[in-house]
Amino acid sequence: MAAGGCKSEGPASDTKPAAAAEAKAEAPEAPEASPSEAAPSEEEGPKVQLAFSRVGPEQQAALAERTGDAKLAEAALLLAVRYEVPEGWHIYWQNPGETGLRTQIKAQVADGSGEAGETLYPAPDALVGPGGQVSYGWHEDAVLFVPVFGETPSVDIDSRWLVCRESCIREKKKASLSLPELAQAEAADPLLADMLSRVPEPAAERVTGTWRAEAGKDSALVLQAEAGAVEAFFPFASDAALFVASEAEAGDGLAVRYRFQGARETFPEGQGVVRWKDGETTRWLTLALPWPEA
Amino acid sequence: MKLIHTLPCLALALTFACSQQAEEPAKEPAADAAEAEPADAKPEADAKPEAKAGEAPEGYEAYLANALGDLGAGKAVAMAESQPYGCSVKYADAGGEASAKVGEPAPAFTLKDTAGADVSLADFKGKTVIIEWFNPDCPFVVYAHGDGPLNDMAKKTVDAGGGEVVWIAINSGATGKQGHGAERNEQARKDWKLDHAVLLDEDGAVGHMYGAKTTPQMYVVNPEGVLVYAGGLDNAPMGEVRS
Repeated sequence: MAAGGCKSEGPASDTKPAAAAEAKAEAPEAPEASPSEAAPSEEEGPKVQLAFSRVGPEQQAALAERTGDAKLAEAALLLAVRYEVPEGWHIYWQNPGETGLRTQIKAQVADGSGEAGETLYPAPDALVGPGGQVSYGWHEDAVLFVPVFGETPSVDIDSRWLVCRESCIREKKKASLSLPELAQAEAADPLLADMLSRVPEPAAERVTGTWRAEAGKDSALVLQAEAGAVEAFFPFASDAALFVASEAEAGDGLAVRYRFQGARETFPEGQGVVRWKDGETTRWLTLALPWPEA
Repeated sequence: MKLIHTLPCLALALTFACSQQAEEPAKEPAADAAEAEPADAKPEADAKPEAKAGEAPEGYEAYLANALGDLGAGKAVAMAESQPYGCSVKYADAGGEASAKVGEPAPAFTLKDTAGADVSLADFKGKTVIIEWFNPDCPFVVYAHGDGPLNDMAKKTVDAGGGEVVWIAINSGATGKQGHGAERNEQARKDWKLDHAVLLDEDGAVGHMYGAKTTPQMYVVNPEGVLVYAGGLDNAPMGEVRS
């Protein structure tokens, strides 16, 4: 594009091996400004800083046990990618909702001596925009997790995210991490503990769902908890099973309204993540209930 | 560049020419100097879908083009709604409940264009009307009009429609918000070589009536005046297929 090098190939990457790397994100590209106008965000540099560490073995084992993730239990390490987001700004969950863009990590083991697993996304909060838009993300700082398998000495990270307050900036960061040098995350760090607790586990019998026909062609999934309350629902992205809204239902439940318009085989495996509260305990649970018959 | 908008080759009553050759990219519009927040950065080169030129990224669905294809073939629109994506519309207030519903008559409106002339939905009775919610400084809009699907889709769609297809853009950004105002939107029309009008809805009434949440969010009104599509351009915000 005109001035900003939108077509430039191979963005410069910070390939310096980093131990507990406190790495600056690459500066966002120039904002849409004509040459004569000031471009404030260009001078300010990136909004979000990334820091990398490894989750301690005890916390990794606890997470694998809680989520029933046998593969995670066998991972050589669990990488924690911390996004340090300025006050008042936010980044987005795997389904950003009505606005925003998924925070993405591509992790690769270059020499084939191991492999990186899928990014684990801690459950988000709902972010409501001034026009009533409902998006999903985290207020300010967030941590995503990437399991790494095998005896690999290094992992290449390529992360992209959209950071927003009233308006948004697209940023990215590449880093090559030397795993033996990676510092262990402070187990007592409240942000780390919160984000680990938000990595969802299967709902199992704790939440039941029944389908109910709604006005028009809509269907509602009525969620009820065996004990406690279903407080919030964060849908997986799907246009075939289009999420319309979720509303409180009598008996501490939640009704999740869908509009079905695509073939059943294109529906996602599960519905999404619920926030469930029982007494003082809050847990995030993945729902994988059967979709109704066509 | 120019991957997505070359994909949906629809040889139906509404024929979309599928250009394969590279063209001069649209220029970036100027930033609004009054913008209080840092201006949005434009999408980056490698944010484009990882596909070879002319190939759709895996799982790509061109919802708007598909809807127009269904309409042109005289069929019901198969995927009539999709999750909109993009920047939030920079409304003045939260507004009330939307009255527009897919399958029902599209709500009437009259707004001024960037030259101050009144434009009404009723002006286009009997035609297919495509409405694009617009903010020239939203990075998703910048992407869509640059390397993305909106680069020349409006022009080609209108040209192929032989006078029976109209494209309009509506900016529901409030005064003082990102991308608002006649001057800024007229500049964007020039920069992106848009032939169609950009209508200004600064109090947000029309946006709220249609339930427009984001830019770019798309609507299609059929010749009978019924809203037949509402949602995203496709399933690929910034060219990245959603999963």
